[in-house]
Amino acid sequence: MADDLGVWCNYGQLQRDLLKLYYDGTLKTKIGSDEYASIPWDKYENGDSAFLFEIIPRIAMRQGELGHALGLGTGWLLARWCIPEEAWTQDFATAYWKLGHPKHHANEDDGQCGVIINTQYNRDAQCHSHVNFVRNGLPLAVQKKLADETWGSADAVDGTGDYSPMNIHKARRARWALVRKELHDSLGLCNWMGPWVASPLKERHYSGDDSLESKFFSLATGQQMSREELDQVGERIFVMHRALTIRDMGDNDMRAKHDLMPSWIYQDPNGAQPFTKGTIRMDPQDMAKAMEMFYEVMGWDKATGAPTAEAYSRLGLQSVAKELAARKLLPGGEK
Amino acid sequence: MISEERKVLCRVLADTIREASQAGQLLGKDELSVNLRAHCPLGDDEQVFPEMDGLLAETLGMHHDLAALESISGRTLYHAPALLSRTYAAILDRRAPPVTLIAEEVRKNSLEYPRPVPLDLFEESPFDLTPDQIEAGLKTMGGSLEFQDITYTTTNTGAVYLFSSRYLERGYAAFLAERADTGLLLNP
Repeated sequence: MADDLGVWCNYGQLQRDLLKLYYDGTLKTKIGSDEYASIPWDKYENGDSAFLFEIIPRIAMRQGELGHALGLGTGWLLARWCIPEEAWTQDFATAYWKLGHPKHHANEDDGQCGVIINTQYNRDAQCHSHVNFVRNGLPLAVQKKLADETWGSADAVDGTGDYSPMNIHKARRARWALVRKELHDSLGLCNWMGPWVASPLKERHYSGDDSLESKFFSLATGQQMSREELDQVGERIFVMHRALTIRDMGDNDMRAKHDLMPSWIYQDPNGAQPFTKGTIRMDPQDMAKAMEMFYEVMGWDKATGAPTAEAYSRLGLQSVAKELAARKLLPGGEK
Repeated sequence: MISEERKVLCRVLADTIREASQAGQLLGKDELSVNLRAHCPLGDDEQVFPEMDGLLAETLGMHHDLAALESISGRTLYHAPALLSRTYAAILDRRAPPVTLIAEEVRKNSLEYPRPVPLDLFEESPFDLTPDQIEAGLKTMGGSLEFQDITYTTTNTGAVYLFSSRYLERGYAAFLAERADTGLLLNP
C-alpha cells in the first residue's frame, strides 16, 4: 500500500521516525490533541495491522500536521518541528546517520569500513562492495584468506560484531569499496552483486575475480583496460565528486563539516564495550584513526579530508585543482 | 594397463555414481556391486566377478569427476562432487541418527562461519527431518554429556537458533541470531 501511495520509506526511516516521535511524546505536542486523538493508537499498541490503513494514507495525502510533517522526510521533518538533529544522531534506535538519511551498511555490517563509507556522501552511500564481501556466506577463515590476497592482510576483515581496532588494510578495503561502487554506477554494473572477490566454487579455492569489471569493459568496448587502470577511472570519478562537494559547500574542511558520523555508533544498548564480541559499538579514538588512515590511502590531506593538489594531479585533474585553488579551497589555502 | 572389459565396468560404475549424485544419493561398495551385477554381462559368479575395491579405485582413477568419502560409519561412499558436493555428502552421511546430524551441523557452523543455525533449518533439504525427529534429537541431547555444548538462543521474533557453546559465546550467538533472523532482511 505504501508503494502504491508513493510514500517514502528510506529503509524503514519513516517507521523509526514515527516510533521515536510517538514514544518520546513529541508527536502529541506537535500535532495537537484533536488530531492526536483521531489516530487509532490502540490498534498500533495491539499490533493490529489495520493501523497502517489509517496512518499511511494520512502521510500520502498530507492530511493534518502528522501527515504533512512525516511526508516531508526526516531532514525537513526535523526542521519543521525545530527538532535538533542531535536528537536523532544520539539515538541508537533511529539508525539515523546525517543530513536526513539513515545508515546504510555501516558498523552494523562492517565496523570501521562501513562507518568510513557512510561518511563519504551527503546522502545514503548506497555502497554494497564491502557488504557483499562480508555477507558472502563463506567461513571466516576463507574470508580472511581472500582478504589477504586482495587487500594485503587477513586483518582487512573482521567477523561481523567481532571487530578489532583499525588498521591500514581496512582503510584500503574501504577505498576499494568506494572506488568500485563509483565504477559500477558508471558502467551500469550492479553494486548489489559485485565486486566479485569471492566465488562459491571450491575448485577455485573460493577466489573470485577482482578484475571482472575491467574484463567486461574491455570486452564490451574493445578498449583494453587493466584492473588498475579502470580503478583509477573510478577514483577519478570519486575525487571529482569530492571536489564538487567542496566547491558547492564553499569549504574544504570535509573532515569536520561533511564526513560526519552519528554519536549512536559509540553506544551499545546493553552497555557492551567496543571490540567485544556481539556489539557494533565503535570507539571514538579508533574512528578518528580510521578516518586518518582512509585519507592517507586516498592521498588526501589528513587534517581536512580534502584531496590535495597532488591527488588531483595524479588523476589528471589539474584543472580542478586550479579552480579550487582560485577559490582558496585546496588544503593549506585560505578559504 | 586396464583391460577394455574393466574399462566398461568402470564406466558403468561411474555412470551409476553420477546418477545417484544427481538424485541426491551416496552409494557404497555394496550398492554399487549389486547395481553392477545387474547391468553387466558377468553374471553373479564370485569367481568371475571382479574384486570391487580394485575396480572402484580404477574407476576413480579414470573418472576424475568422482570422489570417495569416508563415512562416519567407516564405510567408503562415492559421489560426483559437481552434482553432489562434499558438504552436501557429509550432511547426508550424518543423517542417521538425527541427534548426530544436528549436533555436528551446529558445531560446524559455530566453529567455522561462525553462526548459530535456525532450528527449522533441519526440516529443510538435505536434512529433511520431521519436527518429531528434531524434538526427539534435542531431548536426547539434553540428557547427554556428549552434547552438553549444544544450546540455543531465542530471537525477538521467537525464532530458536542452535549453537555450540564450545565455539560461540552466548552473547555473541544471540547477536548473530538476531542479525540472521531479522537484521539482514531489514537491511538489504
